[in-house]
Amino acid sequence: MRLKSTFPASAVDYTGYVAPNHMMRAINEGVGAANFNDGVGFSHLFPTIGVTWMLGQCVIENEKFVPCAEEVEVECGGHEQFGVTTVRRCVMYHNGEVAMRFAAKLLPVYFHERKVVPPSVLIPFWKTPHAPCGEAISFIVPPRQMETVEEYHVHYRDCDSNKHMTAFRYLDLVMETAGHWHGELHLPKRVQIDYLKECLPGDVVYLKHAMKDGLHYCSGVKFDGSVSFHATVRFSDETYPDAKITHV
Amino acid sequence: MRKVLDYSITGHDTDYYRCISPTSYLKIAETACFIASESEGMLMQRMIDEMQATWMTASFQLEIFKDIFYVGPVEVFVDPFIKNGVVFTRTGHILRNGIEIARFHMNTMAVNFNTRKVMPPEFVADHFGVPYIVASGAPARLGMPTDMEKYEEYVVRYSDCDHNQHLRAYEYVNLICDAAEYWTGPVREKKGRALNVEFMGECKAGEKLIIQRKFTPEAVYVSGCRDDGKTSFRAYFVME
Repeated sequence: MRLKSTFPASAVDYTGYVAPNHMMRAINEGVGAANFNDGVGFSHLFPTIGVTWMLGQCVIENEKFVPCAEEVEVECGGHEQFGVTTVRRCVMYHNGEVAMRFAAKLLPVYFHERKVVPPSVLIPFWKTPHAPCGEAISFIVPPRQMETVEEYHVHYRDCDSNKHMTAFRYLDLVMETAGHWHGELHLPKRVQIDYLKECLPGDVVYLKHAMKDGLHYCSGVKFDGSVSFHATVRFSDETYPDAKITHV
Repeated sequence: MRKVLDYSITGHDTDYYRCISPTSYLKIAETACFIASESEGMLMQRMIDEMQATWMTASFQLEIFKDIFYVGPVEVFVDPFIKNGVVFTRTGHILRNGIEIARFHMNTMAVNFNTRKVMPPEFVADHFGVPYIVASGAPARLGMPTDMEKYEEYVVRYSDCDHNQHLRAYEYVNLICDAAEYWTGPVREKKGRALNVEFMGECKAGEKLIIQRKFTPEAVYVSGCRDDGKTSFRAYFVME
């Protein structure tokens, strides 16, 4: 099943193309729809057993920039089981071409207890059998030396009903730290984020950056020293003309 | 009024309390206004090519009649353009199950992006043959208290900016909601009832905004001031 959506006018970013976080948001809608169709949507799990889904890791592979106000289609594959996590792999199409590939490692979590749900608890809910496991998403090992580039204060506006900073805001911070909007425009060919510890309103996160073998490493370290996330970004070598249309 | 948008509210449109926040309403309003203008033939790309013009939001008023805590469909209807001085006002109605849950008034200006000058709205409407109603004049401006307290300093991020390379309108609303303690304070799960925002000076990436606020029994006043002393926005937010 393909889920159609049109990017709203508000999705455009500094470059004039659809913002990375809106691309991720749209493809995540596909993940949500796939879970719903498989009987494990938020509306199935939360009212009955108090469970929500949280993103553990994601890998974004972009093939092209998408202009605003245009239609895309998102297609998601079956659910793969990796231990306590479920992996979904989705593809976003624009004008019949692949625009983005997305792999999401999802954790079912008891909302109030903040504990991971054993897979056996979800067995009665799944309407479809697990798909064969594809490539595992490995964890990022960042360089030892990273430069602190910013101190970010988490606000309520950054958070959603899971009570912590949204996965999309992490992506904003990662793309900002990697310099996506500085200088010439390059396509972020591959972005990976390992979500390791949630950030709550009032938290301070130190954003760190390093370059190694052409790869941007970005990390968020909380004020207590715990790591909130690790991320990597690889940009295309070629530059792209931006789609910005006005400079008022 | 005519229907311009079927919108499906998803979990991503909801906030800390799984409610549709004023920010989400503004996003829906922006989308509806964009579609309405395009469907009337006022195509953005033609405005750029033929008039070197773009739209900028001058002010936004929102009234929320019913709180929505659940995802699902809404319909958006809009009224014809109204010319109010140098702005075009577009009124929109957001309905769920046939009941109006929110209403907005979006005031936009056409701006020449070469000269940075505001263009008479009728100049744009006539160019595209779009009908409009002439109203009495510019919308009333907000009066702000003089004894406001500083709440926050915020450095505008690239990720907060749109293709005009300014802070997005809805990001202002996020700043306003935080300053107004919409999600915090002694009373949790407050209900936004009315929001009036005036956008007065653009903020670019890297610029610092000093956010000030004043709580009154009726509402919270919030304003943003740039480093150069120029007021960036003013807002009046009524909560229950």
